[in-house]
Amino acid sequence: MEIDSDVPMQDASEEPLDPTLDEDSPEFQTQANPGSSGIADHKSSKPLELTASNIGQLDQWIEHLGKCQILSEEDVSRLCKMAVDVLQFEENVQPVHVPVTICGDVHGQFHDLIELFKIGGPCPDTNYLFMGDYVDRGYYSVETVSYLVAMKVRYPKRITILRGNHESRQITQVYGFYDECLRKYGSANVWKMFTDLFDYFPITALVDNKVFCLHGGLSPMIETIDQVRELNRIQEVPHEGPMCDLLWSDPDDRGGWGISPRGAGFTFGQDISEQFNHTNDLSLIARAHQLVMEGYAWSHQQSVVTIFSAPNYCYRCGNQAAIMEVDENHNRQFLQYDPSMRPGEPTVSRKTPDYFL
Amino acid sequence: MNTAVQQTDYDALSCKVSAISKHYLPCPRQIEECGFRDYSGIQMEYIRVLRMLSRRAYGKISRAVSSTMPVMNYGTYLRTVSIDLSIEEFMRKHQDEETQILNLGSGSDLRMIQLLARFPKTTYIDLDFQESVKLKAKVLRNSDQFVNFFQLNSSEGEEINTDRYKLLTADLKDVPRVLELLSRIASKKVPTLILTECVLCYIPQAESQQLIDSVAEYFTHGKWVSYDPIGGNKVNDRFGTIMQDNLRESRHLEMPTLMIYNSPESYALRLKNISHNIHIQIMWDYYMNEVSDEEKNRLKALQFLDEIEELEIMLSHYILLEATW
Amino acid sequence: MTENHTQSKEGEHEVGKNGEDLYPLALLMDELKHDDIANRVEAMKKLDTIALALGPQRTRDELVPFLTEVAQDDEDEVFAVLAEQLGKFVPYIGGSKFATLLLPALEILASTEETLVRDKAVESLNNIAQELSEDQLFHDFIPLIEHLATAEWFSSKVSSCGLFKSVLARVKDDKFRKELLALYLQLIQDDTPMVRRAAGKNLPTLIDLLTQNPDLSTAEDWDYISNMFQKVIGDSQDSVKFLAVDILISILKFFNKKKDITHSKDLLHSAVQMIGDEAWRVRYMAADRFDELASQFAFDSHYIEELTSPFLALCEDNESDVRKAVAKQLPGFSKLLGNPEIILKKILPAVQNLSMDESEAVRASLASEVTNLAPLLQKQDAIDHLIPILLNMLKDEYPDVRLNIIAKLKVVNDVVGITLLSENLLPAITELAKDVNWRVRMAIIDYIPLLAEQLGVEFFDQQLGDLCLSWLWDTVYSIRNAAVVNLRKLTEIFGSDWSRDEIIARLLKSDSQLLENFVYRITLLNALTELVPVVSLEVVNDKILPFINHLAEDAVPNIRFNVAKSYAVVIESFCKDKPKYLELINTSIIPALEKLCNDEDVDVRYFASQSLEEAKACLN
Repeated sequence: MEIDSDVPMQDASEEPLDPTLDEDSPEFQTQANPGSSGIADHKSSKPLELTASNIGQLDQWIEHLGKCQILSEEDVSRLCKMAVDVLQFEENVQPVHVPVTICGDVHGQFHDLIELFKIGGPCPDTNYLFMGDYVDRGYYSVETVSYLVAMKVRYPKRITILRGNHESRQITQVYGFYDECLRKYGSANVWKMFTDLFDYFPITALVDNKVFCLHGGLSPMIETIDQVRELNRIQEVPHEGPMCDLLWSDPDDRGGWGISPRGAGFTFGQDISEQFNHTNDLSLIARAHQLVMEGYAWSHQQSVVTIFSAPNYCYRCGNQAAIMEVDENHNRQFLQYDPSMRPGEPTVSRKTPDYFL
Repeated sequence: MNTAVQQTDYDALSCKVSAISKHYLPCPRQIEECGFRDYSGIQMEYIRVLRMLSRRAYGKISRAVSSTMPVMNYGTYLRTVSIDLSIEEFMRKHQDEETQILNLGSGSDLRMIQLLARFPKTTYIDLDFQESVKLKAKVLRNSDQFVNFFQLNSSEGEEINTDRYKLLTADLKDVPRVLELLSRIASKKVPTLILTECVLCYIPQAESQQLIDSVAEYFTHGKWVSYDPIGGNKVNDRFGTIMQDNLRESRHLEMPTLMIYNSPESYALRLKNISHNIHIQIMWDYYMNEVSDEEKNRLKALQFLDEIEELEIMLSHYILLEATW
Repeated sequence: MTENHTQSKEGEHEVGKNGEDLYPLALLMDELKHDDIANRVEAMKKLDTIALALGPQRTRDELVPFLTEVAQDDEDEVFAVLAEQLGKFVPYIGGSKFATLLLPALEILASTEETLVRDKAVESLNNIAQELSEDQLFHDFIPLIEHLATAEWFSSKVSSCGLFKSVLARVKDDKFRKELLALYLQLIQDDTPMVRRAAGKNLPTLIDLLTQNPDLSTAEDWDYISNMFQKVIGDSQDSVKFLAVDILISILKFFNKKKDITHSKDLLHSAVQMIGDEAWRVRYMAADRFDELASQFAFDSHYIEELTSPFLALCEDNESDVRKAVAKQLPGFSKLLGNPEIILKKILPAVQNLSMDESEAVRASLASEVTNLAPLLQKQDAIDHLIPILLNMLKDEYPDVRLNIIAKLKVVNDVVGITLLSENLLPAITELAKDVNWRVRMAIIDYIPLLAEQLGVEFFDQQLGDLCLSWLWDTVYSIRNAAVVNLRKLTEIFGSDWSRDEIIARLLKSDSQLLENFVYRITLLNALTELVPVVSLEVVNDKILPFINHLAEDAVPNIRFNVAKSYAVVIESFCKDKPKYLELINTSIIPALEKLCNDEDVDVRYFASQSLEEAKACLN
């Protein structure tokens, strides 16, 4: 018994598989054209000034989103246009003042974001600094990112939202945000708008010149914070280079620079962190990006802290989440929390986290 | 409950299709060491026919494939390759002898095609629930390629029973019935590889132990290869209980022994009656130790793997066991 | 963007009212064949719009046959929507006289394996049945039930069990009704446990229908029902057998309504048998429904007496789930017993045991109801025998036990007064107040106003005042906020003077080091602002306003804009006595707000101008 050689057979690499089973089709690639959503076609030359009617609109959106309901496509478009006119004027190293509460990855876990505000206090009464990764993985990326962007536009001085490695066209096509937009809006338009908007997010923040906040970590091409200021950040996250590293790198127990086990960025050792903090007169690097079981973790003898704000990550990992409050005297306090109760949804067996079964 | 377990076959199948469509599989070792040919062609032919036969089944699979995350592709890759290599080792050891392969809870697995093509002295037995067997038989019988390969002479029939390939119905919880079936189709003396890939975890403790003991006892010489999740036994490790809750809540799927055999050590105890030669490895360790740097780099280039921590958590809760006697 | 555009998302495919731009059926069919399930689900959701556009004739001739075809091969998500939609479809196909056209598709959907789809199909079928004439019932609906009930596949049979309720009471012909019951009896004895379970589960509803139409059923009908009950009670599967409890309750209700007590003894016997069944699920069900079951025998105190020892046996059951269920039934059954002496002698020892049960879930369950025993006992007995149990439970290691007792203390207070409990109450509250889980802390705060009312001001000041203030300094915002609200509620209970002396005075003396953190300054500001509407204007003027003023120049903008918000609250209160406070408002508060309107921070400016507007509205 042998495989009949008369039946034509080809290997996967020679012929694309069934198109419904392959995301690498050409059609898919063309959807990732920066700027195609048009949200940045009519940028203002000065920061958005809120009028009474804008404020009314934003407050209404925030209330609506707070109930985990999505905005209409038209409203998302209006929101993103306003957001461009806020975010384009922020700096690569956005200055932030204490007191501020610093948060890590949220990843579409909307109900846990609401829990976060229950723990840390509502915005604008509490100032927040989010270090990226609002979308992908969780089931409510659209609601989460819409809510945070609406808050940002409404209270630009009270909340800072940095860019994470998931705020990118490429990554969101693999990790869920693209699919979620398609499912919830029936087209990729909303995904295009948000990913176009992500290009304007600041990539780092500096809390009173002492705490350097960013999503990933340091870059071998960046020695001083001023070098970050010189980058052109308004673009898709590149596959390599300083901007990529800032969003992708991880601290490591080994000294010096190392190859990252992830798809991009580097690992950096204690010597690197200490040198960077010394050179830039910093007391701390705060970053997110890595799942840590207690919600926060120190490394490099307290020169770097990792903060992760998605409890039971992917509804599967069993980790706690945390946020870090920095008061006006630079005292720090970590608050840990567990997942909020997710309201049960009577849908056909669908929203199960993935396992190997 | 049986339906819930049966549905897991769609998960396994869609994971495999996804890993193939993203080119994780086949890997160089499968091609070089296991001599796999037309790996993805065979899988795609199966899917093509499945699509014609059941929109429901196909829909479930194609949807899952389109949303499969890299972490899942990694896990599927490791699971598939590690099992293939373990089978290969057994086959080489008994290269010139007659051998049998018994896949308990086989689902839509297509390993038999590669193995039957390469080892002419091998008999291959797939056992599973009636519904799974029915669907698989239907697909195989509706493809010219498979009909030719297995030399099937009818497009009817809910099972398949040729000289060298048997696809038969059995509820693995009904151990006497499984043994009765084996006594009719399997030789006790022929060295036999028994595969349980995500199967034991769905069977209650007593029945699964009975299954292991009696099936292993039936064959004089054998190797048992088992891949399963383990609940984890470290302090503050909530992975296992969350997994049980998630699957129970959304899919009515029970894993009765996940927290009983929650570590490699305790899992290995299941085979202690039959083998003194048990090797068990956590899949994370397998990834770290058995996958070459070159291969790791090949995988890394396929998709952006966004985080290694999650991969570690997932893979640390799956094991591959190999026991010989 | 114009108004029209903002609405166009929903109306993208909306059909012009004049019927011109029809959403073509072909397009829907295309969508329903789309590879992506999301498209198919969305298309299904628009079915009503399409049907409306097509008009009844074409909907009947083209759409419904097409949907019947779809119902045969698609995925569950699509089926679920289709099943739901079809239940609302009668108006779109030209009214009830065509309603039976919808049955074939729903029959198919009622046979699928996915429970959710089946349930929706059954619900829709029952909806449609309401609109059918008797003729249609006989010609179409009952045959459909028969068809499903005799199908080979278990899922069809399961669905059929849910449909009988739509027809049983509408069949006036005794012969037909008998046939239906005979068919149901078959389902009750089906080979598949899942079918028997579904049949057993739906049986009480059918019996209740007969109870609602007491003159409908015949003795022969009841032979069938009795037969079904016997089958269920004798079922080999526990998960079927335990349904007999609800069936028995329904049977008892029927005979009680008929004032027919000829079967009471037999039925009591059945009840006792189930209470002592060897399968714990059956005992659990009996325990869970005990009150309802026993009250069907309330017409004769001897029967209740006979149920006493089975009841007590449940309290000592080996299975903790059974004890947990019966623990909630103690007050209900005691009420049926009526006699305080018997309750004291027989029930309280069981309460005592359950209060020390090894399972925390049992104790928590007991705690949620046990206080309701207090009014059923003689006052002195309650003091001597019930209170010690409650005191012990307040010391339980499991927070839910303590919380449940505290939540239901009012009834104890009404009978014996709360002072007897106070000694243990305090440590219990203090412990809960320190629990690591913030939701437990939250729960106890919620009870504080209730306790305050019951304990009275003196006890409260001595014991709980400090605790209430300490919650303001919790690390979790939600606790701080609950603490703020709590202070307002307490002030509402104890009055303005009390608040001034016991709360405000102490708040104003807060630890200055603590207040270096803006979190606590803002909390203090919120607390005092929250009190403004509930204390006297003098207190606001003398105590609260100076504090607010003092924060108006705080370095943290978040404080300043909250000051601005506070001013609006103060002004609103002062407006209650304009002659006295108008000048203060105009010369002090308004200028302060105006100053904040020119603050360097945009949010301070915004909230200050908002407050200023509100102030002006108040003043005019």
